[in-house]
Amino acid sequence: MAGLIETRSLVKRHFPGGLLRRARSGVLAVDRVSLSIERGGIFGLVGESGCGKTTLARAILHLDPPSAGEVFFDGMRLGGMRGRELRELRRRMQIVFQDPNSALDPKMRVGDSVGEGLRNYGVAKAPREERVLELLDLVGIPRAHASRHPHEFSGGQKQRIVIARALTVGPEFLALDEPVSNLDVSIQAQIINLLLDLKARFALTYLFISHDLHLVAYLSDRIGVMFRGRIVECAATAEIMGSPLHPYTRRLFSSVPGVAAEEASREDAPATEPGAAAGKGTTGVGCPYRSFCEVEEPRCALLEPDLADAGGGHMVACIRAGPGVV
Amino acid sequence: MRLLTFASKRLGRLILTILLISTIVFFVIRVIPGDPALVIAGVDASTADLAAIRAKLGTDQPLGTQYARWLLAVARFDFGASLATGQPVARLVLQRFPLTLTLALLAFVISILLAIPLGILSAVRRWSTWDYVGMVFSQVGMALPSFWLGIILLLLFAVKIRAFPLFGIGSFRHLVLPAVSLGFARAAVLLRLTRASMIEEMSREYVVSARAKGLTDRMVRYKHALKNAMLPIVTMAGIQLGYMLGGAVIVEQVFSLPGLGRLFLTAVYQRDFPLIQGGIVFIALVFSLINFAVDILYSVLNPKIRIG
Amino acid sequence: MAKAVDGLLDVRGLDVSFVAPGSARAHALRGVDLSVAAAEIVGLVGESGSGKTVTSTCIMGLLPAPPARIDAGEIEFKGRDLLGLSPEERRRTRGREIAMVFQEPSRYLNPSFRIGEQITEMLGLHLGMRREAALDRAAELAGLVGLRGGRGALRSYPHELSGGMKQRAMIAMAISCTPSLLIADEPTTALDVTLQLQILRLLLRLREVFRMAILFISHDLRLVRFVADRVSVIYAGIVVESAPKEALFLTPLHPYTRLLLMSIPSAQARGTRLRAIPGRVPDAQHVPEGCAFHPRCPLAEEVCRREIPASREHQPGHRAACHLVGKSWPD
Repeated sequence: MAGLIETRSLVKRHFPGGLLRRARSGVLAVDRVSLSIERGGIFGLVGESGCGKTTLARAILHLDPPSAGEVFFDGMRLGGMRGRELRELRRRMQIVFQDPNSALDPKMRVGDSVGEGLRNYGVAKAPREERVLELLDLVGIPRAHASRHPHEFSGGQKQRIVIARALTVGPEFLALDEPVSNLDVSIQAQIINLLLDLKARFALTYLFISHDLHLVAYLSDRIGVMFRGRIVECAATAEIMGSPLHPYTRRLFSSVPGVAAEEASREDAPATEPGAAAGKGTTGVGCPYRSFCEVEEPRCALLEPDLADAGGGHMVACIRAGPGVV
Repeated sequence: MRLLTFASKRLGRLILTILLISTIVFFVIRVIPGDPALVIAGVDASTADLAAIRAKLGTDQPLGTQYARWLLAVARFDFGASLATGQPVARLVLQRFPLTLTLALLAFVISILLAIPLGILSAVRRWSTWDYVGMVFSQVGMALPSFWLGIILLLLFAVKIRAFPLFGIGSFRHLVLPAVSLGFARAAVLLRLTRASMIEEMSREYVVSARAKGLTDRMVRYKHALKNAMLPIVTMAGIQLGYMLGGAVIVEQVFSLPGLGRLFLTAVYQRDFPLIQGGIVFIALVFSLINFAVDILYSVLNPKIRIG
Repeated sequence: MAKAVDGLLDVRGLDVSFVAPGSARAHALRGVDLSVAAAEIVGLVGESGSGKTVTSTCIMGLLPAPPARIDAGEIEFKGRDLLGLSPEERRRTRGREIAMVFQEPSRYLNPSFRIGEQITEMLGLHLGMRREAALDRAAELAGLVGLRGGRGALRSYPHELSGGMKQRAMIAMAISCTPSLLIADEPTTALDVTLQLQILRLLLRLREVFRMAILFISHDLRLVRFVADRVSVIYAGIVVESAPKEALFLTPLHPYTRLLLMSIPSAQARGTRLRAIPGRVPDAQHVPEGCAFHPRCPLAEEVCRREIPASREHQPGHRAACHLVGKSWPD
């Protein structure tokens, strides 16, 4: 059964450097990503900064149209839509970002901010205000505070307001890009619980992006691991936590104390951050991870592995861990 | 990127700028409705006169030829002869340039010596007496028109106390008062900027880090913070110098100095087109050269810039 | 493990307020007790607004004197009270005896100076090293902290290095004069996940090699668990619990600690509901009467509203500031 969200070979290029450099082919921020998000599930996306998680989310929501590939929402192809059709579809998918400060207009009362979406869709004042107050109740913001401005609220409260705003138009799908990373530990738990309650209440589907592996493991049904624009592994949470197949996934999990079954005690592997030394041939042919990989083989330089099913829906992009190999 | 690569890129930009300005100058004069010849000669000039003027200006040629000839002229810095005096434009400009250059440099030095130390002191000892002195100086300096200051200086030091000559050129002393009145106003602005820039840098996190390393106050302020604070100051100082090199018209008028400013001003009054054109291109060239120098200095001070 | 009586650092009753004309006094630290023994790694855990950064800044002597005001307390370091030293004497301890590593290396490094220069200036200032010797030592330090590229890395400017490398550079600077105490204020928060463990392991190595004590400040209990020997939990300007690592995580005595542990999501907790602490950390200008945690505490009683609980040792080495230690929980 097709998921609520389906992407096929999604590509998004970035062209750093301004006008004069556009001629070059640019950086592949999202590199042929194909994934499927089941209705009613939570899909967790992990990866280091710069791997393309946010770009992928924006491409899925069509905030930045992809350079190539397709996105399907509930079976409908987003790329072919225009004008009204696209606007109507947008009601069904919303996004919450990391920083509530830049998401909320400091000059607008929060009640107006929350209702902005509805106003854009032509909902009349009275029903709109009623809905806004309803949602503020649901997220735990006192109704009386609807006339206040963002700076009068704490970080956690602002994030609740942003979530309320995303929900006013009645979406089915919510992309959450690091929604609690800026918040204190004790507030994080509050927001997480809120998100789970809202999901149950409104039968939502979530795409949850975070660098906090524990959090993603806690929340998600299915996890996708991203490395430099590609999904290198994608499987059910229990599967991927129990037997991570891709070397990068293993490395990621063992970097976080308490996540992996074994606390890796070997020497520090070379850094994989975007700014770190690229090592041998990261562009062109071969597996992009090979210069960091501890189990690299000669054939890794020749083949670029695709995401393939290693059994039971556990997808991996590694020739050593392909179908039949454990 | 390496400094050399950066420098050559900037040089490329400089040439591009001059080219662009020249083209704009060319088209502005020719595209504006109205015949320059008419403007020069007056509405009731005779046809013969007009034709003569046009031939002189070269406006009777097709546009393409004119443009090509113009670009060639710019490259050789040969703008023909001034309509008013008949002398070659290039010679006129270069004759007067040394005076303007000396005046500008003098004013520049005065401005820097006044503004930067006082600005730094102001920032480092905020709300102290020095800070108030600096702020008052800055406010007053920005409020006083330079011609007013010039006249006052003349009255005080040339008339009442005969310390400096009243007008004309010929010796260094002739330039002192003009340089002071020119430099004073610049200093006021520069001081403000120095103070603000220094205060901003001192509040940055790397200053906390420097303190945490046990560095002395002096090292923190004058080694760490100052280097970064200098960036906007250098830019502003460069712009000011560029402006002054184009000829400080007002000050030159007050002190009757035969500098570039007066030359170009007169050219505008007299509709001396070749001289005006030459003037604009000259000023653009000077400004671009200064900008180029500032860019290079900037990238030496702040290595991050070399990426651009 | 007995309390470090002849320890390296002993902070007692530190009371710091911030006063600005026209606004209420912000009581940032209300009697902080903290101690670090030689070669010991102590984790200081707290959320934002708890006072952990003010504590570390105060120990370093970097608090801006107005608006900050130290009303009481002692900071005993190697037998001397740092608060009684002159500014110049205090300056000499910075970098030399106590060093600090900060959260965001891109902000805390001077962008206009090469890394090598930022290390050698300390060696020259504190140890009187000459240029060549200092450069050699800097290269040595770079190797120690895993800053790849040796002399080449030293010639780099901060923006030419990646986040992880910048942080290592900052650590190299901090340890250059072999201080006895290193304060690491959220050193991995701005870094990617895969780097966190590397940096933590580096800190552990430094402790082994130099017998250096480390005060590791973080909001992340999981990281603290990995790296610390003892942990102190700070809330609203008071250390509410202090214990050896495993004792804190296995048998937390203070309700705040316990709730904090229950609110952390983990793979293991999958399927269970997180225990969120209602309300939020009080603002330093409006600290509740009595025990600052009582408005959010499920166990709170009348005494908690009236009296500030004193910190008492309930088990060897395990202190907690709570009236109701031992009271059973409602669930």
